[in-house]
Amino acid sequence: MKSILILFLFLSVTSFAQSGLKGVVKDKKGKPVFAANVYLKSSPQKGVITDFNGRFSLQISNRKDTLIVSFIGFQTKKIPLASIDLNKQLVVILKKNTQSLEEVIISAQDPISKHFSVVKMNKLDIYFNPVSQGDPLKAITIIPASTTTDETANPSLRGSSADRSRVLLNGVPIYDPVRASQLNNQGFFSLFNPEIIDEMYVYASNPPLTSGNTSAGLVQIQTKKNIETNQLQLSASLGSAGLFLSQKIKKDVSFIQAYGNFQFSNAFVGIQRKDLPDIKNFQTRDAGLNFHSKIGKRSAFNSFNYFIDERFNGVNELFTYKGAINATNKRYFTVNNLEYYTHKGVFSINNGINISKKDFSFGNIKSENRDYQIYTSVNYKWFVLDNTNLQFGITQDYHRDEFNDRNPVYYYALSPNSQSFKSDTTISNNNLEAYFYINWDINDKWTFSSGMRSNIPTRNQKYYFSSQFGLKYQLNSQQSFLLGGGRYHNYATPSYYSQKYNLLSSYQIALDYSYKLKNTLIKAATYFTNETGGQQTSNSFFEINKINTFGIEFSLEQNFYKYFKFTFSNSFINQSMEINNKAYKGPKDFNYLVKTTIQYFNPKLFSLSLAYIGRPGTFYTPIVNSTLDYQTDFYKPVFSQNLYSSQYGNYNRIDVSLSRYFKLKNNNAFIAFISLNNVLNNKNERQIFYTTNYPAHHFNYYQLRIVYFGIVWHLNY
Amino acid sequence: MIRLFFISFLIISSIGNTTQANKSEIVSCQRQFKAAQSDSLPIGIQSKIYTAFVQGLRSQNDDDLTKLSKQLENLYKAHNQNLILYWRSYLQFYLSIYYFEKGDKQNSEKEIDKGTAWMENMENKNSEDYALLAMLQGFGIQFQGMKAMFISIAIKKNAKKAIALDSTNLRAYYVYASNDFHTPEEYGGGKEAEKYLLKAISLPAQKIKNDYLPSWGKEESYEMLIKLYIKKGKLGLAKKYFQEGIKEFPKSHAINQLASKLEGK
Repeated sequence: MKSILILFLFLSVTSFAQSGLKGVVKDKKGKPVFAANVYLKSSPQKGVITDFNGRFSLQISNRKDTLIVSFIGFQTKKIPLASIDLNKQLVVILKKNTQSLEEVIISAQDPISKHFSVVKMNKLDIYFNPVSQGDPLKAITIIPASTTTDETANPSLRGSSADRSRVLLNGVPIYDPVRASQLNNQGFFSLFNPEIIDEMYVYASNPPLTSGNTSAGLVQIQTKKNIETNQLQLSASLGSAGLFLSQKIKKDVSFIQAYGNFQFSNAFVGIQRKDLPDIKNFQTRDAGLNFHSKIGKRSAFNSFNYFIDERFNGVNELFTYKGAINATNKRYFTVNNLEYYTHKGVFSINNGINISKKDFSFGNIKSENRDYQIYTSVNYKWFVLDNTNLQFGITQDYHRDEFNDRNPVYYYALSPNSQSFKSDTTISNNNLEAYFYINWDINDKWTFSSGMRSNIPTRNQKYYFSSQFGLKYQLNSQQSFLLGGGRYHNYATPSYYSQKYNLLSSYQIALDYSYKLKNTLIKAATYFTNETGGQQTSNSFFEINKINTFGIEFSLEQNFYKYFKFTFSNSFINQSMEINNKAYKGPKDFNYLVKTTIQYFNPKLFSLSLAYIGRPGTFYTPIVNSTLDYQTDFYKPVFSQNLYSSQYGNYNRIDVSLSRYFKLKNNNAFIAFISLNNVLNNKNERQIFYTTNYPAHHFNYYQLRIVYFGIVWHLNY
Repeated sequence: MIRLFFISFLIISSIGNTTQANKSEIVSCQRQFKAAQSDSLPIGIQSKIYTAFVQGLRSQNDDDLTKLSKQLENLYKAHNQNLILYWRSYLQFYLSIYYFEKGDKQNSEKEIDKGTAWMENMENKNSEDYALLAMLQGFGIQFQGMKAMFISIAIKKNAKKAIALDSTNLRAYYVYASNDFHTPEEYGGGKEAEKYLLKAISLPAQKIKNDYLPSWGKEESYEMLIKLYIKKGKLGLAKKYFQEGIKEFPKSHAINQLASKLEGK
């Protein structure tokens, strides 16, 4: 201790005896840099360290030497002593380190608009989601912003129809992203395999204008940039058999993921035929291939390819006719991405091609639909400053639809012998757009974003301009607010009922709040949306001109006792729509939309989850009378003048799922799972049907009680 | 498995810095650096925290650690510097271990969560900050129950960011390797630890000696690398790095204790 004191006194005396250079080290914002190294090139070990105010004092003896100032995360500054006026205080400004390429690559993986997504999910979030059944888009169903009411995986967000929202895979829109999406609204599962997914961002409102063709919400899926391990998965279940392979080709450079599934109905339908009255049989084969490779240090290429072949035979009803429905769907799409990184940003080209052939027949209706889509975007994301990023680009989205249909002459006369006529229609749309998006982290608390997107009209297209703003306020480490608003446009996807590309638009404003503690997450939101454009409702003859939606959401997520998790959410949605200048209740006008789950997850034991979804029934227009049409021998329905005045019964559904993980030798594992959907076998009314002359009616129902089980082997090598 | 991970982490952490503390004391007496400020608390703070931790274990009370914690808190309030927040979080790591050693898991979890939250919410994190965050998350993962798998992904991402921000930061490589070392093979672990540990020991603890900045990680990297080779049965390599490690850290209890596993083999 004594020797330290002597040393200290010695150093102090020496220090006073000498004169030297005095200065201050600051960053570009003028904030003092504490603990920076300040030394001379000739004697790096004889330096000093800056104080809390960034100040330093250094003895110098040789004016030919060079002063060096360095600190973690900043560029080292070298100043020849000869250029310094020793009579003045030296001010050294340190610049932040130029981003390394690796850092650029990591930063570029997140979308520029990431602060404004309400939910971000990865593969594990999807697998542990109590309603997902391992499907990425179904996993979204549990968030309060999801207003999907038809049990499909196609996301509907905040009261909007599914066709107003878009799903992007690596920046390329995948239209109609579900399987078997024929007229009878199958489509329980999406086209995506969770094993290929790195991150999935959900924008419930105000979709970032880096993407176009959406006037509601957006789901951005990004595939993996690397894989941890080589793995082979084999799965077998009541209705399918499949395999999945993840294989590194060149370590840290390239890999492939390949998979194939065969779905069949024999056992699945056979053991629960009573509960699947509308399905006779189905068969689906699909295969996917994802390839990723770095090209040198600066570039990366990704190619995802997917093929699906579906066949479905079932029973359908429409008005008073009940008969067989047969549908087939063959689809192939490819999504290709090329990225080039610089120290200041990333340049990317995204391309997607989709080809599909859908056929169906029902009564005297026969439809053959061929779709072709080509999408290309050229983008540059520019890290302008430490706190400011820009992204701009141009996109082309070309669609061509061919409909070769045989339609009923009288919409209510649908038996195979009823009159029909042939109708061939070919339509196309070439949507060319340019966009600009900025994200500015103003300070620790505020983030601002803004986007603009304009079409460049081709042929007879109308000009439109979309714009948006977003503001995020981080009140403290737990609480944040998101305020967003804007005007958006998209083209409706043509269907059998509406064979045109209607231009739809919306005004949106939304406020989201989030409060996060270690084991608790509370979210609340309120929003207002004004949607316009001729929007066709399925199975109806009306075109909706305008929909106003006001919503309030609340959700709670609570982890407890280490392995338990409880979630609860409720949404109030006030929705009205306008048809021919008259106002009616909207299709998603709900006083409540309750979702609650409870999960137990212990990797050493088992995983068990219970999920409940409840809401009032949707509205429909009843048929109040009928007149016999002697020409067709069918009764012609007379719809109520008061559209959407009747309501289906309340919807309630409870699902249970159980899984168990077994560790095997040689790092292999085995997972067994069983799920029971709609445990209480609630008859949730889906659609109303009538007897021959409409005096009486009955309903068909959403999924009744269904059991499903299977096993998966994980073979790591 | 998580428990095993934790226990081995605890051992590394508890005894890993023994020689470093002694060495730092010597170095701080011999050091030729002259701090420009009057407040001496941040000088050799890494060593001070460790000394307080060891003292706490000996005396079975956390007085020294909490006193130091309070001092750092006041200093942070006065100067609001990320570096001080770094050391506050680093102290939380040892405070958490202290409570765990005493069997008080509740407080152990509370303290590590506090440190982790500070680092998570820190703005403009640099390579050292991400490395510490990953280390805190690695220790805290044992308390996470069903969230452990999600945290594991975050640890890896943060360690990767630390490397991307400074490819010469040995602590970034060490933390990445440590996560891989403790991740079960069926979850993709155990494949990259060797590469990252070899990289870590090839780097200097600090590029320019600075008693305000972190210097931990090298001794721990040697220890983990030797353990890795013993586990894999590569005893020749284990001995080679044992000798290299003991030469650089002659008083390291953590490395010395592995001698018994290599004797006669």
